[in-house]
Amino acid sequence: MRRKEYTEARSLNLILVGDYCFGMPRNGEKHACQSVPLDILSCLPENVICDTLMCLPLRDAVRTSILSKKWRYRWNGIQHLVLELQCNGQYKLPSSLLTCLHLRHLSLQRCLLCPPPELSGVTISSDFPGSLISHSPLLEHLVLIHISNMNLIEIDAPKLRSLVFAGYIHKIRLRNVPLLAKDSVLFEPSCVKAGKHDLAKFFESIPALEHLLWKCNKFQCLIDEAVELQSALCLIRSSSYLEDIEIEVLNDVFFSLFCVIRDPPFSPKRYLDPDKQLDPATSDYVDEIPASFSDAILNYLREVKLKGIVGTRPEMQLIKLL
Amino acid sequence: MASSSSSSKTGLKKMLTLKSSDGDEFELEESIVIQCQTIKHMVEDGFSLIPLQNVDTKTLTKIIEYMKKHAEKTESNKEEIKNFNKEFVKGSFDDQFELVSAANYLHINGLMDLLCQSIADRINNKSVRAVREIFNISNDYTPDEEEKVRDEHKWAHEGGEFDESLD
Repeated sequence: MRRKEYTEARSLNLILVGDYCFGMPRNGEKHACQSVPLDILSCLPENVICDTLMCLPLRDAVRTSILSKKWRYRWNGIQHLVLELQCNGQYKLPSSLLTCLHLRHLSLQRCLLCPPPELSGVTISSDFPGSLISHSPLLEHLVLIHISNMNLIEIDAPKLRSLVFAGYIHKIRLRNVPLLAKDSVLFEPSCVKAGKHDLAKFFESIPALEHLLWKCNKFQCLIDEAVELQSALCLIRSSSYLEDIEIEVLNDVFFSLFCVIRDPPFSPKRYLDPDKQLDPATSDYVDEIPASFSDAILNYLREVKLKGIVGTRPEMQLIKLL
Repeated sequence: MASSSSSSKTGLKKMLTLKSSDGDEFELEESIVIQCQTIKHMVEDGFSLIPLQNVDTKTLTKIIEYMKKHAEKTESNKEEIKNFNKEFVKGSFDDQFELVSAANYLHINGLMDLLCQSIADRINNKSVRAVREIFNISNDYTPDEEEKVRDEHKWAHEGGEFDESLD
């Protein structure tokens, strides 16, 4: 295996200029590499191969493991993983994913992570995403969207900077996310069936939150939940780093939001209004809002976007206030 | 060989000289060259003649072509840059590998991304047999070993047709 010898015997030609030190194989060696007709791809530096593998769909990256012995574990070095599988449960998510210690970006969308036992072959540990995340100490960006049948995921990711989450809020706990900040959270609970204080806990665990996009179009708010939501929003308000909030909401949430915005020190730059119609049933709520509005709202609100205005009474009320 | 034709009209613009491993010198505006992180750091340390002992003239010419084009990047010529990129990655594997090694060494992130994507495009959805052939990768697994590795990631090898073509 001349190629192997080349790699092992390779010395680096260092150019020392000032305080900088640059290394690259010497020309002669490069040509030696070229003179071996085999495997030009393997002559590339590991980080180049890693970057290349990251440009591939996971499936193709994993398939490189049988190219040759040298390639067996190369795909393990990938730092960016996107899984978007259809919910048919036919793929076994490889346990070797757990060895991706260098994972920085993880995106799981609509994965079926724990197929019911009656389906052919239970292959995926229900603890899969949780253990994957806790085995990825470098994880910086995490996307979890509508993960089916997932057990509670506790996120212990000291480097995590951004999180996009859609699904059941009570399935996720943020344990150790001190850096979660920039671009932080796109939060789209398809349905909140949170136990008491779950929402509050959720936001309490994001001390560095700077940006929040909260979409809750299908929010089915019961009274209890509205109260809880309000307490969560109050908590968001007390996030001292929060600069930017976009909220797309319907009905009750709308009301809660105003209660929050009213009070300084929270000063949102942006506030995204309901993009669809307000439920007429909530008009009562909205009618009450002007009474509880203080001038502070307008003092702190810097930008308002109104989308999909259909001229309902609550909407007109809001516009009037502005 | 030096591309100093524009120096007369550049007036006060700071010029730098890049020297290839073949000894050819290229004079370029600093604003173009600082796309390259390695050189940027050297410039910050006051160097104006940058010897690149690991980049030959042929490769350096291509890289300069890339940097010049990308220095012109604005909001309005995105399509033009896209077409340029498309043409730029056409070429032999040898040339591409020389380029990607140099881009890696010089830390030109945009060019690295472009070239890695281009290599990935040649692997994407190809059968293992085709990838081995395209890149001259010799299979050193025994049939048993290969079967074992294949079994580890069965999901990746099953379902769907893989492209057997060698382009």
